[in-house]
Amino acid sequence: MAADRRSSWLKGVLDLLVLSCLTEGESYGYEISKALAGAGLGDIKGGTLYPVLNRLEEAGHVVGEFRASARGPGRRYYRLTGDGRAALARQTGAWLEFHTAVRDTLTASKSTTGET
Amino acid sequence: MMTVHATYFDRLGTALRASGRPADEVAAIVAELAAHLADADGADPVEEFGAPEEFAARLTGGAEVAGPATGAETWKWTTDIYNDRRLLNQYGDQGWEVERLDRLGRFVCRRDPADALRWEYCRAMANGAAERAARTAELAPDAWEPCGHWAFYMYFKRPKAASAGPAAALDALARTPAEHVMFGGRVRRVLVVTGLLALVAVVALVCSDYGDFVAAHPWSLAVFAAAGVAGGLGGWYGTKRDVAKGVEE
Repeated sequence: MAADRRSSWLKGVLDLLVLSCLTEGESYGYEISKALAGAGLGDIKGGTLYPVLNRLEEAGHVVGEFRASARGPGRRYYRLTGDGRAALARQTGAWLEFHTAVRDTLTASKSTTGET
Repeated sequence: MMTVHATYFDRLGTALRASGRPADEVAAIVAELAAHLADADGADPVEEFGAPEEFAARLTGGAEVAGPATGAETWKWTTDIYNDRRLLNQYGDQGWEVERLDRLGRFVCRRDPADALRWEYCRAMANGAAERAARTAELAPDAWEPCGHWAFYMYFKRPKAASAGPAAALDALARTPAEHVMFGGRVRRVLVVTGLLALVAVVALVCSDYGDFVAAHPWSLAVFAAAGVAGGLGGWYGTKRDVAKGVEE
């Protein structure tokens, strides 16, 4: 139940998190997944991550480029576009506003429960 | 540097044991990964594998973010090592994602008609948990995830979008295949020959009266047993050699 709830929360914000992983420069799927896992957001499999990257690419928020590698078949690198950066700034504000409302409500509820 | 590595592998070992992996298996995995790191000229383990707790979760297949969709189709099928990669990639291209191999060696696949992706597959050889962990670590940077192992070989999957991006989208779904066993000509011929030899042996024994035959030729039991063991070992090593060479039909 806790995992399902966490999964639902993440689905709503995963595109923002992926965009945020690209603000420092280009990256690729494994590095993005590793960064999100390192931030405590769980192990995000390719079947979840790449549809998000595809949607962001189709929306023009990121640009993907495949580069062959000497060691293996190669990787697709992603870079944030101007539109992506603007969308990230806009939607981060909206998410933080939502987060604040949720936190305030739950904090107030916890205080009330604690008092009774 | 060695202290950093030791701390990393201590944390990895603790996380693996906490997930229920036996202590000897954990020790083997840690030893294999430490050797892999040494081969990589002492690379940073966090850079190479990720945080130890997250890497342990990947190795044990835990904590996936998205669960299976409720309307997903499932399909189980099997083939032989001479046709597996071709068929996996053929059906992966139709949206079939291998979730695991079951005890019978069948690929357990799922496909969500509402959100299907194209998948691609590769196969690697690995003897034991430690080598499987090492192969997983080697292939992970290119988005390959383990999706099952059987005997001494293991399979990896990744969405085709990992290389092709949105161009790998799946527009139309082929019907779910009716087949569940898809052996190629080579394996079918081996099965037919083995069956015929077994039939000939049984008929010969019955016609010559089994009890009398064995009483007259007690060494025959040892010959039959030795032939069976030799055939089994030959098949095992032949298969292993063909997997290593990547032989396909």
